[in-house]
Amino acid sequence: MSLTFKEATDDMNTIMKTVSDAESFPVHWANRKTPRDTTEDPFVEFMIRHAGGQQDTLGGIGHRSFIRVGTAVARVFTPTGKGLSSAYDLAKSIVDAYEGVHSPNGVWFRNVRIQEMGTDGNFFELQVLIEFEYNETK
Amino acid sequence: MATFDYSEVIAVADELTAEFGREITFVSDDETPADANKPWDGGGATDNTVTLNAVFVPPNTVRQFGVTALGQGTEFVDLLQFSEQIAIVYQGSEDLRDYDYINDPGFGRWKIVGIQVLRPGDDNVLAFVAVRR
Repeated sequence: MSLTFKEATDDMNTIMKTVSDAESFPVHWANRKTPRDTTEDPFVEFMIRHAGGQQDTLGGIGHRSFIRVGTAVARVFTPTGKGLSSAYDLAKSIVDAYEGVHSPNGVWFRNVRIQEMGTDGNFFELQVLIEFEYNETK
Repeated sequence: MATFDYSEVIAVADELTAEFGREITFVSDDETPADANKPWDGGGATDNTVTLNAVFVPPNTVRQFGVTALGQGTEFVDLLQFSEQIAIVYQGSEDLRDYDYINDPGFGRWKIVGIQVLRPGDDNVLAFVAVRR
């Protein structure tokens, strides 16, 4: 299925929203105002970074496929000094939502992994890295 | 020991900013998603605002671009210009950290880049709001 940047981003964000609704943690979306920290409740910052955009197939205008690849990053923040259990639990729920699946409209996810970043102020940061790929035909 | 009563100082701050300043509006974006299913797409169109009096003469300890500031300063980077200034306001009980921009009539919209609050006791006396565009 052909997806524009916005359609693919909506697909990826929708998966994250489904996880956050189920697990009851707030998500800070790209280019939206981030609320001030007034609690130590865990939260996630989600961003999508496109990288490559090679032409994938030959053909006339309207029939050429372009492959879009990149990495989505979920930065998981949990309270400092409280151990890593909640960070891993939250990361696991995010990884399970993206690993080995594709979005309903055809964004494929690969090499989903985590990376422990360390303490940042009141929070410990752990990142979930999700490589994605989809096609746009035009 | 009795605590110092700042009410007179606060009244003076309020009076002086009203007398020597001009009205500006603090604005915060509407954070309620326009589409609840797509909160990443931005908020609604109803911004939150509060109007306060501001004086635009920073104390000489404040420095912009490495020189002592005198009101609005503008840096020229080739064909781009970056202006910044400091608004001194009496904020009352408002928490200015809730706001993102100021609208300064005649001078346009400025992004808030920093706030320092003079609060020696339990009440705010003055806020120094650095803005840039």
